[in-house]
Amino acid sequence: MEEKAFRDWLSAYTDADKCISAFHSQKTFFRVNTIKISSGRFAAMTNLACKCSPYYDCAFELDEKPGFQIGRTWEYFLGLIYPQSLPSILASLALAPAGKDTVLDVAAAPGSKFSHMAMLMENKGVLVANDRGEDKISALYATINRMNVLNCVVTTLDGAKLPWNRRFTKILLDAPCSALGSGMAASARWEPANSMKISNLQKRMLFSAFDALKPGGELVYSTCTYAKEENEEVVANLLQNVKGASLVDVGLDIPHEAGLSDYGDDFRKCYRIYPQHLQSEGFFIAKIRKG
Amino acid sequence: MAEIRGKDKNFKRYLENHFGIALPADVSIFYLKGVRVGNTAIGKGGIKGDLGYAACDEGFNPTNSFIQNFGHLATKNTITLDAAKAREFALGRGIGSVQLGEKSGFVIVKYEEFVVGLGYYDAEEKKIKNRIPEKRRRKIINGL
Repeated sequence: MEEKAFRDWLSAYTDADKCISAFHSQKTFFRVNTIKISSGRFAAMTNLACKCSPYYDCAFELDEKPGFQIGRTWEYFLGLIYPQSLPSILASLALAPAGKDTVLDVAAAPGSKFSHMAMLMENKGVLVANDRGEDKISALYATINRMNVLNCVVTTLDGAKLPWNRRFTKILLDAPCSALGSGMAASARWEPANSMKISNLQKRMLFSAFDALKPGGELVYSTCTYAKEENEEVVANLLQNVKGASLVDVGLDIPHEAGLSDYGDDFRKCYRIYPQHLQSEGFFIAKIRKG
Repeated sequence: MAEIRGKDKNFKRYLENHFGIALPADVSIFYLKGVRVGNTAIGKGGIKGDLGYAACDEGFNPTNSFIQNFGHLATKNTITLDAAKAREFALGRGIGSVQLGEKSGFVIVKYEEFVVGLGYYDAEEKKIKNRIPEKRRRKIINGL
């Protein structure tokens, strides 16, 4: 889609000028891996030009020159940090897994949110990382090894046909999506029909993930896109067709816009994070409880 | 999960004898399609899948990842490099003119208090050969 058409489409959701301007001035963030080093000790030892995010003490904003290769630093090599956008970090915080939980990450590769959840669980409990494809699993294992994730079980199942029923206390479904929040390149190759198509897969994945959730458990559904067909519509389809599913507030104190109330007032509990909010990529986060 | 049995496969004993590494109580070494490391809970979850990550290769040599993550617990067979040599090692190069004793064997290569990776000390050549896998090697651009 051409930029002008995309701008018009986007203006139905948010201030398109601010959003597109922020697309071009996104900052680089990374997360400190507290499995290996505390945030405070990291801040004291690192020579990287960076500052701690006001929203999370393990998230840092990089302040090096453009083109700086964070993957070639000691901090990265030693597994002390993971480069990750701020909204992506916040998705795992919304789920808030702990060591007592049995957790599933339905589409885990390359392991950014997954390794963050391992860290939040202090490497305790059980954290299942699922994904498919040789390259994805290889990337996932690289993360597991570098970040020293010890509570993991890796499975390679179809995320839309998971075999589990009422098994997990917490589930993250960061669904495959059109990635419009990641930058202008994604919008250039996107058409609304793409979102309609991927929406069907997302709906099947969410049904499957919800089946795997224990009663009383919580599920976070997230994407890095804005199209309502991939966000509110997917969640609404679950709420309309499954008993015991309800939306709860994402519960993070961060700048955002509420989810679209066209689907019901409860959808205001969802977060739409645009680039102008956190100077990072765009994201959608919904939190669902099983009654 | 089965604990490792057999003298030559007793990785835990090897860790203690060779490196002086005693693993924390909540870390488990187990044999399941190879010697792996994980927490003590993952085997009880009843989920079919690959548990933890590889602690040894097929020849029962420690993996670089295992050493990078647990090598800080070692009390012997470690060597600490200066910044320039540590960068060379991270890049995949070996270290020459080293005198670490009469016996060849694995060594833990450190830079300051951090473990850079696994090396193999060749007592005849007085060299440390690099055992960091190619995919993990990096040209490091900064200092600590």
